[in-house]
Amino acid sequence: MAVGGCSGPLSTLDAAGPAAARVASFWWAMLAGATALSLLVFVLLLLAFLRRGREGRTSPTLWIGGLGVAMPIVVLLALVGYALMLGERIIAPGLSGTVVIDATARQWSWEFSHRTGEGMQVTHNELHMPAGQAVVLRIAAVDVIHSFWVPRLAGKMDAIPGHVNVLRIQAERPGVYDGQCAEFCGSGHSGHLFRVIAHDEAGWAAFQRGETR
Amino acid sequence: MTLLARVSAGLILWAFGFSLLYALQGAGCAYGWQEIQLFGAALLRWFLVVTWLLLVAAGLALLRLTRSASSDFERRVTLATVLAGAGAMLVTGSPVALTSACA
Amino acid sequence: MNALRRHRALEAIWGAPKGWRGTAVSVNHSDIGKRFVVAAFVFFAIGGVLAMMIRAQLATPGSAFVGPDIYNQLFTMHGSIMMFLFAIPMFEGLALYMLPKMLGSRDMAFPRLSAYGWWCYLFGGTILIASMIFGVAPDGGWFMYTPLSSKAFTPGINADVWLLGITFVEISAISAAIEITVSVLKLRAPGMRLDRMPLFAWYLLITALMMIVAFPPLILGSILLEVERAFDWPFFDPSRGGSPLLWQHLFWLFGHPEVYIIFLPAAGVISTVLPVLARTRILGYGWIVAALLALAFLSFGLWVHHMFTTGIPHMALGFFSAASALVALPTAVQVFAWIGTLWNGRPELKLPMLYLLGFFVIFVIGGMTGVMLAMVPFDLQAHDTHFVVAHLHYVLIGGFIFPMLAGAYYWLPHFTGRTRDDLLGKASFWMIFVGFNVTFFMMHLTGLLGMRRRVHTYPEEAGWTLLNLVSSVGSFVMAFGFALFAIDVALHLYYARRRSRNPWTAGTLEWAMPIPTPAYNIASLPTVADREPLADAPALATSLARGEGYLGQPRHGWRETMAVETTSGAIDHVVVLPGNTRLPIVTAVVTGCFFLCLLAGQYWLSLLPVAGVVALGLRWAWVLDWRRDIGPLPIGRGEVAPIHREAAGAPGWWGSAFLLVADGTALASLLFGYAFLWVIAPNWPPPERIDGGLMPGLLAAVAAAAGSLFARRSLAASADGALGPAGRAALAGAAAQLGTIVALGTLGVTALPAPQEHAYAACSWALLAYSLLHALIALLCMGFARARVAAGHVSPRRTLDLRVARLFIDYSGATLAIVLVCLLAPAVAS
Repeated sequence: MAVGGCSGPLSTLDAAGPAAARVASFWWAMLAGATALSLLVFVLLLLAFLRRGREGRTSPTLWIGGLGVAMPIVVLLALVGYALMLGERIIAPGLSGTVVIDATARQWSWEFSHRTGEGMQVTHNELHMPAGQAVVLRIAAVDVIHSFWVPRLAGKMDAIPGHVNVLRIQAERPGVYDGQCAEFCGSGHSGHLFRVIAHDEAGWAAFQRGETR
Repeated sequence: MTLLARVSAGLILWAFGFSLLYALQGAGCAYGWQEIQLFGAALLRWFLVVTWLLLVAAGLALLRLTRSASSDFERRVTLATVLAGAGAMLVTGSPVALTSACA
Repeated sequence: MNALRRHRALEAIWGAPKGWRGTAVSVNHSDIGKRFVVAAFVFFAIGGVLAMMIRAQLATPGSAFVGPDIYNQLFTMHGSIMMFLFAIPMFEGLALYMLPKMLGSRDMAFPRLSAYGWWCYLFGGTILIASMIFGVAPDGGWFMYTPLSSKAFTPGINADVWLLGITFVEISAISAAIEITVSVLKLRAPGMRLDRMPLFAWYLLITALMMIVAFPPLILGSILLEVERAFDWPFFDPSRGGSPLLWQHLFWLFGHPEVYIIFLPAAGVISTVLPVLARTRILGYGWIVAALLALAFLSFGLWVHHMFTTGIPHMALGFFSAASALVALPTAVQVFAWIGTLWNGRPELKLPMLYLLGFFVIFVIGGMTGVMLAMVPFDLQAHDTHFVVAHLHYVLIGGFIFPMLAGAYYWLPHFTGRTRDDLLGKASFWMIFVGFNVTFFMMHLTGLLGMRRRVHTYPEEAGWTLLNLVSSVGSFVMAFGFALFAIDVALHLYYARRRSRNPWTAGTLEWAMPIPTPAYNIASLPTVADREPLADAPALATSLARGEGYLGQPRHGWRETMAVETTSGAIDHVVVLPGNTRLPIVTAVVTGCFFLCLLAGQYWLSLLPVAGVVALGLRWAWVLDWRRDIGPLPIGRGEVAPIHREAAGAPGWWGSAFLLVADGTALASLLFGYAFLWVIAPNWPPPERIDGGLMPGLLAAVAAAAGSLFARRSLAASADGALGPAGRAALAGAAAQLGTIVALGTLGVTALPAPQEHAYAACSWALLAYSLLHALIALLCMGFARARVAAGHVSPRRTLDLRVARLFIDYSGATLAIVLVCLLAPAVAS
């Protein structure tokens, strides 16, 4: 498949941050494995019809013990083990020394509060962050459940009234990344969008000083 | 009915153990057992790992049920489900050793 | 008596009157089963039309076909209809129709309950469809997440329609589950040990047991949410100690097992049809039973994988991620057992087999994406995108509809007594198969490219335009395929050759009867010594028709069938089933009035239909009229057996026991909610806790204990023949329950804070209400027992009424103890 077909402003496979990149590679590996296993099943099915009339019963131990139990156990254990390790790297890293931004969702807009040297900088539907370093988001909602998702940077995290969830995102390069609310939140759900602006060092410093570009 | 109960025993134990680990983890994080350090790990971690290993051992102990089975069918199904229950306990409980408890 | 006279005599006992009157009063399992299947298919068609409207809207970017408000109703109703009004009822219908025939029985264990479930389903479904016509259909998604579905954000009745309509329909699901469980465990042909049952019966038994445990959390959640909407009890409101996550837990605690509840019956069809078409027996019967048990339990440990993005700690996600991956194992066991069966046999590419091959291709792909989604990091990206839409349709259409279509073509001759050539059926298969893959394969791609679920429009720049257009075209191809299937079946009914019996030379008992089947199924009941009774004795059908099995002599107008010992299949007793009656439809109508009152907000008025249901329920039990001892009955072949009223393990007792299991699950869910809020929800501890209440609590406990003792006393006395003391003890038991009710009421009024204040108070009141309700039920049971003793329905032999009553009373007492501990613990602790 042409990699070009996977690009797009909201494509999870067109990764622009480390979390999204790791998940994208994980996806391609799982796709390869799933294709191989599916083909194995389909070939065995085909052979069942082609070998029609040939004598000789096959044993349940081989079919069920071998193909039904032993093979999937090996595959699944490897997969679960790897996914747990990957999850530890993406979900549960330390939070020290990073930029913290509050993201608050409502029907149907996003409010981002940046702590800067000058106090709080509040923006709507536009999240500003430095490129090249991890940013911690504290995600909350004031009315119904929403979900913060910037597909090219990282997985999503729900914004739930009464709870504060934490998500770490990072953009490798300066640029503009599209974000969207991933949890159905009523009649404005389709248009519940935002943008992430990742600044270079100079741009981030300017934003913190309150200079809009 | 006894047959159904015996062939389900291993899996019932899994369901109990699975709920227990989930409840311990939730309560532990809520009440701060994560903060108390003991012999190089959090109290919550010790709690969970010991419970997990005991549950797996209990699951394997249920293999004794196969000895008193009243038919071949019951023996084989009991063997399979007890192993499934203990195996599932081992695998589904493994995050207590592999992942961070409260983040 | 010759075969024809026996047929006429049995038909007179088991048949229903012609015309609409027969429709209203029939309780026959074949009638009810067929109605379920037909109605489910009609709802499927309605849900399908909604799906086509969704695809029409999404075919192009920025489409103006429908706006967001209509679109939200479309996908909410599509999901709700397909889950609650199509998939579950379709399998219930198949089970009701097929189970007794496969088990060598004449009907299900509780025929009136089947009929009641059917009418509840029909009326509840009608309420939901009608709401669409009036433009007030539910629009909060089939998952109804709070707070979006709470009063503040859905002020109209849209959400109430969902909560009440679905709960109404769920009555039929719980009824069917209890009915299937007891029928499989008790009403089998003599000699059919558990390990000689057709696999289909195993699949249905395990599915039914899963339903008994899985549906109560949803029913409880719906009640809590409806109470929050109606009376402002803040179970889910975070500003007053509730949590929106509690709803998600309760919903998915039902919602994930639900997926397997849908898949397992269809898998049972595969395990039945596939070996017959491969001219062999299934490989690994015991393995499959073990796999089913493992699947049944594991499927209850997956629900949080719908909540991976809600901010739950990684360790907890890990438990559920690992369990979600492991659940693939029992499924793999079945898939390879089926392929191994094909290798061992001589498979023929007949029409049902074609659908089975379609199942394999689609379901295997759906299984692979399922394992992918079980992995937390990948799910964080794919969750709530069209990738999940693709996955769930691959497993549900692949895992349910394709096997059911295979089953439809396999059993059509059984329903109609006719066979037809395959041409149209093959054409419809290819249209459905190709159309399906074109539609849903594309959604994997749009999902990975970032297309969310439940959006009514998308921009051109996103790059999903072509994929969506292809998807929409495919969906219409698939829809035409289903239309072709419907036409084929219609033609089958009218233009097909008559066949007498067993066109596939299958080995299970449903083919040991004339087709289409008479109302009584079989003229006499066989003795079973093999998993495939017909394989060894092809002439079994004729021998049964000649009355050479059990119960071949119709007598007293009784609907008789055999009950066996659960495991061994040894003869236990004869069950005499109730006949045609108007009670089920009347009770369902009154039940419907109750739900309509709630929907209209007439809460005081709703007490009227409640009283009606209670009265009808008492009548329901009262009309089982047994005023004399029968003693052992001849059952043919020179053997005798007691009648169920005089036997220990009668179906009625078992049914009550399983109903209480479901009831206990509801209480457990409520206790889980209470503990969950206490530990997780914001704004705890509550401002005001229980204040006092120890005295009335103790009084309630003492009164309930006395009630249990009197119930025992009454039973013991009637077993000794002392009917006077038995009646007095029952009366004293009723008085004791009244004491419980008064004490509980006092406890609530004097000690508990108002339920609107905080989720703590709301939970406490909910627990109190639970116990009040059960004390009331216990009171009715004792009063009923007293009246039965007085009217001469009870004797030392006939104690079933009292044993069932004691079951309910003991349950009420035991749960009261738990509830009191939970209510009073905060008072003792503070």
